[in-house]
Amino acid sequence: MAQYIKGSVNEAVVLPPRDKVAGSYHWDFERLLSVTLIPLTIASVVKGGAHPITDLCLGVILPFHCHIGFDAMITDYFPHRRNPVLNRGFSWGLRAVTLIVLYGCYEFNTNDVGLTELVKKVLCCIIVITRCKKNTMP
Amino acid sequence: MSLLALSKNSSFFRVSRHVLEITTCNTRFLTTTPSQKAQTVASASAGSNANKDPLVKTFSIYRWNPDKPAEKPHLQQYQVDLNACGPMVLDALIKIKNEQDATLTFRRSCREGICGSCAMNISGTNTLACLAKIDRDASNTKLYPLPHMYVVKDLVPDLTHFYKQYKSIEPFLKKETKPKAGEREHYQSIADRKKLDGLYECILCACCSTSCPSYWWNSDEYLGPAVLLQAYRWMIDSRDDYAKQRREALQNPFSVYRCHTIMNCTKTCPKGLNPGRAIAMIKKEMALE
Repeated sequence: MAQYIKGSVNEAVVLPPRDKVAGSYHWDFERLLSVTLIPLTIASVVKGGAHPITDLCLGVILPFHCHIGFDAMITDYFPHRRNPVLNRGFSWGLRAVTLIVLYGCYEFNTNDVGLTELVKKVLCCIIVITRCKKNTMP
Repeated sequence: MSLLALSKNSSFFRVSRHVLEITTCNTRFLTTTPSQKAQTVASASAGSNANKDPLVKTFSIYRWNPDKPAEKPHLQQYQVDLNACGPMVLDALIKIKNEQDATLTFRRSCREGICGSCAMNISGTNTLACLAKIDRDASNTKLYPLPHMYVVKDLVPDLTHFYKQYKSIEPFLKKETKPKAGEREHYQSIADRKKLDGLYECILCACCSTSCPSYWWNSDEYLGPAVLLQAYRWMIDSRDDYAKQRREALQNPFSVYRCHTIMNCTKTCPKGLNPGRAIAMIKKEMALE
């Protein structure tokens, strides 16, 4: 985490080149995905079963949402200016894993129960477990 | 010539007599007796120490000497009688420097929380030493320099990069057109001036930026809460004409968007400001462009 002074002590720091795609558009897109996941999850919990629309939406939005989240972690801890090799390695690894997950979601939606039902089961289990713990706690 | 000599002699005598008079006049005022009120106050402060038992607490202070760089940084313990010391941590530091260890090095100036010089990590929290009350219940108070900063000596951090980042946001009024010949004031309504409350009071002490984990890991390119608070202060100043350009300058993944609303900054600000909210407002204004 070397902090060295570029240029003289009196010069202002040079801000990185302007790129709206990596800047505000990326932030907007990330929030958009998060916001759409809220009604999707609630709808899945309320009405499980095999719904093709929610299955498709979850199967696309969840992997992208997770990809953006992990990508933020890579940018935080292995930024390109400090760890160029690790950054590239992790980024491409993440992209590969996201593609595999996308394919996996497709497989799960077509040949298995479907993501809507899975989300409902997982969240209901969590609710049941927390309620059980609350009842059994002294 | 003889007349001149006579007159000179007489003036000399007059001067010497004046000197005698002056010295006798001065001696009358040499011995001064304190007023009665001053005497009672002096005895009261001396008496307060004599009445209370010494309350001795330990201060563990980070020490490192750049003149002996091979010696590792270490914590040095100092014992201070809190009943013979002012209430703030800075009072204890000055007392230690005066009475025990003159080599202890720290920044300080106003002693009233307005200059921002004495910012340091006190028992795990970044605050100003002049505003942090000594915890009379704790047996040990730990003093560290601001975290994740290069240390110049003891409790003094190197804030060069911090100031360079502040300069990069252009913290001055920028107008499109020069003022006309007769106009000298930039008018601002009371409502517009109210928007600057909570932003202009920042003293750039760096407590918030050095409490932010994102700033620890990416101080090279992430501007940090203090600088972003000031960037917002100039963005929403109604007198400034370059708000759009100020926002455009931050359009990159690092300058603003390394903030993940950890909110250590707002928690630690010794002036009670809210940099986290200012950053959120910047993100909101940038999102709608």
